[in-house]
Amino acid sequence: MLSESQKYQALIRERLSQAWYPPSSATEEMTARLQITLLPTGELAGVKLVASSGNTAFDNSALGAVKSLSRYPVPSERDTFETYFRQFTIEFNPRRLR
Amino acid sequence: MIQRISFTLSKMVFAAAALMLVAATSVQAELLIRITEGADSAIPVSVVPFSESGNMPAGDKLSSIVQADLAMSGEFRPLPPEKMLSLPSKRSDVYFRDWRLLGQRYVLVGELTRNGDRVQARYELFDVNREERILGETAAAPASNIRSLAHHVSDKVYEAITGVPGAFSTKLAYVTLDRTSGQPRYRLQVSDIDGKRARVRLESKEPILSPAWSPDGKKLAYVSFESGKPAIFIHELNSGQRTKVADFPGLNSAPTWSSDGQSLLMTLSKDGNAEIYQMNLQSRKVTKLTNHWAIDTEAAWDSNDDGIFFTSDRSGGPQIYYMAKPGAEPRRITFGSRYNARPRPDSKGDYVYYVHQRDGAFLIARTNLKNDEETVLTRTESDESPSVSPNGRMLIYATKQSGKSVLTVISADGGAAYSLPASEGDVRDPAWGPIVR
Repeated sequence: MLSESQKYQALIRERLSQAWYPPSSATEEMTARLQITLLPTGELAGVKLVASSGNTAFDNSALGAVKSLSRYPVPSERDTFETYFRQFTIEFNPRRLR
Repeated sequence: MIQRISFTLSKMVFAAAALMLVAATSVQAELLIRITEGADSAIPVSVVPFSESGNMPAGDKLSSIVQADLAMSGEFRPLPPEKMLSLPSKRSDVYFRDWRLLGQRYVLVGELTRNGDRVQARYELFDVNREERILGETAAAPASNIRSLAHHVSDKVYEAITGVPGAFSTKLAYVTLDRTSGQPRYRLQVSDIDGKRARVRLESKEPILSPAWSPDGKKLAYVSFESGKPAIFIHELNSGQRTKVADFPGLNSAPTWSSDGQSLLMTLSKDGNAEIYQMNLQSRKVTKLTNHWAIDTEAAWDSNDDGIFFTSDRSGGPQIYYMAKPGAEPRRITFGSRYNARPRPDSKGDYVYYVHQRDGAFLIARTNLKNDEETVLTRTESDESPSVSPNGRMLIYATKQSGKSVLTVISADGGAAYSLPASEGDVRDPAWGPIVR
């Protein structure tokens, strides 16, 4: 059984995977970390690149993916939201490139 | 502290489920979501028709050429202009919200101005979600040369988005065979990579084979049978001047260049058996690089000019081998089937591409040189002569379409295919030219 938090993490992961276009210069060694802040409505309040991959096109593709979601799937239960989803980190690291 | 402990606990409890998800770090109580896969489709991009002031030459519009270039790469999915909500030509008219609504990631806008006999393009590329301009430039070209200007814009757009130089301004060389007049007509042609602006550089009643570009893009080496037997020529494209460089008894075939342009690899059989030789183009001296009773042929330097890939039938049938340096013991690269031939490495040393036979069909495959993994890239069945674009992202090869030989471009990972416009007769032996700066 997935916890409420895990369910929403999976949803966010799925949405971001569909929204992310890794550039052709991407390699499996590249990792970009973004810290994001959400509103309880699921709207994006802020995003910050906290660790660059070293490749501008790659960093931008990650930022573009994060900003492309108009609303993040978040739990309606306030405690779960505050604990996990008010602020969290997303790591972009391709394991299997096309 | 209590929160930390509960995180550690939940981490243990859900260790089995961790495959599907996420690890909450115990150092800081903040969630980390890992994204390890991207979208499986091409990037949505909008090339807005450029506004025009002054008389523009007839023919294809610059923006349609850019759109076709980006689509041909297989990495982009341009939005048809009739689906656009507005046709801006400068930043102040770009409403990011509209483009986001259409699912677009990038928007290219610009204007063309006629200036005497030149056309000037001012253009800007925007990242829709980040609401930022990622490219802005003014470029000009003679009005008669709008295609070159368009390919230049495509190169810039491609590089701004992907971080890899575009190869849309490069050239193709290939050989056509026309039998309409009753007598075979072989023509060596050079065109843009979309097949446009083709020009015949040599015409002959006898076969022309294996064109290969010099690294500066100014010369072609090829095999011509014009003297009744195979000989290797070097052809300067600007002057049209031709020099016969190899005319030994027996085979003179499969020329390829070293990256300094000072020597050619070739197959000669002057000593009785097909072996690979290197010819110094200044002294014309040849050095034998392989020495085996089997047939060794179709050599090409690796990306550093250290070792060579070649085809050899020393194990019974044709297979790809790699010799780390001249004289070293060759290492067999291909094992997946009984027939693998005509290797062409990319310029980064990541992959080698070749013709691969499977279930009676000839296909194009590649092997990842880091892990020896083989991938079949094509689904047609009489495929030959793969040639990789200089940025390593596209591949051209010859195949059969309703009984005729045609050229097809695919993305180097085997994605989207684009067939070059059919010309008269058969088209063979494509060679992708270098990026010329």
